[in-house]
Amino acid sequence: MNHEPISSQEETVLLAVGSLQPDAYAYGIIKEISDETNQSWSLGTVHTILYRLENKGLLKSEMGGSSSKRGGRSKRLYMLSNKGYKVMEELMAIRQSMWTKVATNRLSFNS
Amino acid sequence: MNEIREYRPPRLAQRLLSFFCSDEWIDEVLGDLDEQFADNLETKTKSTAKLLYWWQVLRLMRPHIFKKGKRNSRVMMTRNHIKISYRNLRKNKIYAFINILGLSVGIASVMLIAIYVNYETSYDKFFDDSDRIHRIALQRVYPGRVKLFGTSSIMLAPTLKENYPQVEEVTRHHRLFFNNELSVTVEDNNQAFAETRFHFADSAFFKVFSHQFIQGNPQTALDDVNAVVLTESTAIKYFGTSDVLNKTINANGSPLQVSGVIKDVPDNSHIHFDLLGSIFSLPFLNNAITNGSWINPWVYTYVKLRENIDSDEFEKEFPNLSETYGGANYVQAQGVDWKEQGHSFNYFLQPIESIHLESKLDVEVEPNSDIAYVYIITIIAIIILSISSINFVNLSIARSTERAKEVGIRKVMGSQRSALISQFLTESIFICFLSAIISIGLVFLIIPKFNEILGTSLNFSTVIQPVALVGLLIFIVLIGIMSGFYPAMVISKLQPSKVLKGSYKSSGKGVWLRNGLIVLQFVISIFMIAGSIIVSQQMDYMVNKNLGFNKSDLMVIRGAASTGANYNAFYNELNQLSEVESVGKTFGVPGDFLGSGVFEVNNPEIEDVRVNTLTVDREYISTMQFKMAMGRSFDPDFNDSLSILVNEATVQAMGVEDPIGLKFFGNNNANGPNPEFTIVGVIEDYHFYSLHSEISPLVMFYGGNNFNANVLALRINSTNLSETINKIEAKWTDFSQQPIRYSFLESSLEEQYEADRASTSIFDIFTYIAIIMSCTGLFGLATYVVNQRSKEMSIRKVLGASLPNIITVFSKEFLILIALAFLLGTPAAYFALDTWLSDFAYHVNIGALAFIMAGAITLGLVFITVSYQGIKIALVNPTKILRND
Repeated sequence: MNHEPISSQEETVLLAVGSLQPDAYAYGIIKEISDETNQSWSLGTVHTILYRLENKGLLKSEMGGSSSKRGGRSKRLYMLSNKGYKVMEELMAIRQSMWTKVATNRLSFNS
Repeated sequence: MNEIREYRPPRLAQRLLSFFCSDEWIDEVLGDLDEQFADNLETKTKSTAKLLYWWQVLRLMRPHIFKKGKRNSRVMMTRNHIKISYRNLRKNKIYAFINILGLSVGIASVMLIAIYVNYETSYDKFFDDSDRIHRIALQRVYPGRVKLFGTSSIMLAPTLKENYPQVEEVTRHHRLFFNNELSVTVEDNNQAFAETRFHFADSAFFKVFSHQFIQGNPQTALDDVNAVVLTESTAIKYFGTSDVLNKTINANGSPLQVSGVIKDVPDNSHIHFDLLGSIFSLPFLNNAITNGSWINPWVYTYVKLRENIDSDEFEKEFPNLSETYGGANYVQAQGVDWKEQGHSFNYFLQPIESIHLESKLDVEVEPNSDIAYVYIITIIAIIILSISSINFVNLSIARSTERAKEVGIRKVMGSQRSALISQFLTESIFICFLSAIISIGLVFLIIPKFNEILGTSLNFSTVIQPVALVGLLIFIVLIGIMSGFYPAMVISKLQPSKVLKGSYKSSGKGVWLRNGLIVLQFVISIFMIAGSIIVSQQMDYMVNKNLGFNKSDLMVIRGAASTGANYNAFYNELNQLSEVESVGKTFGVPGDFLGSGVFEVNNPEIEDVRVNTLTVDREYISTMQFKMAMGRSFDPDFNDSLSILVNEATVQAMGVEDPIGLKFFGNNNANGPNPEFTIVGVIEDYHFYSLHSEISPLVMFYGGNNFNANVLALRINSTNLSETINKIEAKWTDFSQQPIRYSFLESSLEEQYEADRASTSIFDIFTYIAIIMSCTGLFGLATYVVNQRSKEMSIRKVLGASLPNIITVFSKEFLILIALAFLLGTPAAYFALDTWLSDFAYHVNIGALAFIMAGAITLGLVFITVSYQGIKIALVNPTKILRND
């Protein structure tokens, strides 16, 4: 791992952005997280994380897309940068390899 | 869609958001919030959605979203300023200590005094509708003199209740004037109690005064003649519980039934009682009612006016009222021409809230405080606070030499003057804040001591109420700004180019201000030191003054009449004890309250004399070692039953040379026979009251053979006091059921000056504070001057000046300031002390010694403080200072 460590909250947001792309904006991410994990995150939390991730260069953003529901205000749409996608892949790989080890020891958990 | 549009997100929250959120983010954030709000409306109620909206906005307060404007940079800078302040304090521990100590003492004094003033002004305000409750007091004009009574006629209350619709409730209250105590026995625990706070009232008392009932009904508690209401602690004292309804106690032999228990009367009331009986249980008051007596002011009348009744308007009813209803009785007592004789009865209202501080009538329920104390002590608080602020200013300026380089660098780096000012202001507020925290601790520690000295019951919890804390916070910021402003202006004005070159010298402009402040401080110090010397001289004087009798080894036994039939047996037993030299019977020893009366003299040229009266036996005169000035004392060879002794003051009042043989007629008894008393001797004046009052006329009656006086004075002739007391106590228990109550005259006389002692110790405390403060102020100034003149001193040293030389040079400058302060402080102290002493009929004279000592002490302290700084600079190698040039 040659990049800064990623917290689990940040990882969740990265995953949410990846899955919602190209329509990943703050409130959308909150809804996605709430659907998947049943946790309700505040807008402030998500904003801070998005801001931090963008500063780390894991996300890119541009303005766009609005609806009458938001009073005609535009959204900031986030997408994974190349670096961001790579970091996620790495995380995935690390977890995968560690999970295989856990799985081989599985018998001992059942006893 | 339309129904959603009806509900808009909370406006205020939106405005808050746009207040702190930067433009870069505002649009999308608002959009997200709106969308979430709309979604929430579909599943939740409108108010929940709004609440959630607020919650989200509050959660959005994060640094990266904030505007990057000036306001936020100020927040950041303030944080930085506080950090710098903290580092500066750590760097200069002595300064930090002096500064914070000085300010915390200042703030603590102010807080303490604020609590005190708050307490003093809170008297009787805890009663419901206390603003509508008034006491009706009486200005009684006799021919040739006026007396102010807190009391009024017993007929006043029913008259008001029946005839004046303005009155909501009115009640009568009575405390026994001549009997200091009532004996109460409780069958349950077989004990006797001597009660000094047994008061009486009628059934409306609790309708006027909203005392809190634990047991019983306030409306009916005093309806019955034999009812008594106890306070909680009295009930517990008697029965061990407050659940005592309908239990019986015996007061002076008659059974009373407990009809109610109330919470203890709060200390900040002008009426304190432990037991409250019915006024109708007192025969002489019942008689007064039967006779319709308007003449005798025997009860306190408290009236609760209806809402919106103007008390000033209502007061105008009294002249008419007094004459309409009381006129007949006045005629009966003083004759038809009572008005022409010069009698009048003028009633007036006193709001109960003001009684404690403002009422100083001749007959009060309890001695009251004085609003003057509140003013004086407030002024003291302001003085202490200003001294500590002055010190703060002086110290800050003294340090400006040290801070000059920092300021220079900051300016070079582009700091604005306003930024520097705000830095120094932040620093002073920060220091004030630290001091305030310490001062809260100080107050917490001091309050019990303060209560002990002043006999108040101040409570620390007054400080930690939200209102008080907010007040304190505002106060701290104000003090911080006031004391930080001048130094901030001075320091921020420095020119970077000059400062960084190292040739910083402040202008001469501020010198006069600073010197003026120092002089002011020394004026206060000299004032306080001289004051505490004189005050302690006066205290010594009072304790040691020859009172006209021998006060040492004199034991006083009270309640001797409770031996009843055994009185003489007990008296004889006492006389047989070898440790007891003699025993005198009396109605009262010096310090006790005496009765008084007006007597006619059998010489038409001599006016009637008003005298204090005392009944004694002949042994009392010898036991007290009174000296005879003329004539003889009571003598067993004569029949003295109609003989009297008078003191020299009486002789003076009568205006005769030789009073022996003159006769006194009592004119108090209108119907019965008036006995004639013959003066057989004159005793030298002795102080029967405290030294506050002048010795007034006194007549001693002879107490005959069956004189069972309540008070016995014993001249003790023994070195082993405790053994003697044990012996006397053993005799007592043989003859009386009640516990023995004895005291020693010398110590009870000293108790008379308890209040003076309290003011003395308060004075002492403030003296110390003033001295400490002045010295810290001087310390600051000395530092400043020494720094300013360090080069001069170094050159002097190089040229061969010795250490004492250098210190002398420094001290000289301060000597002038001290001299000036001495000139200003001495007259001020003289006048103030003169006023204080005039309150004592017998006092010391103000000598020069006190002022010389005050000057010397101040001088000594100045010398020590200045030398400390002087030596510091004198010991430094001159090269270190001079190499800068």
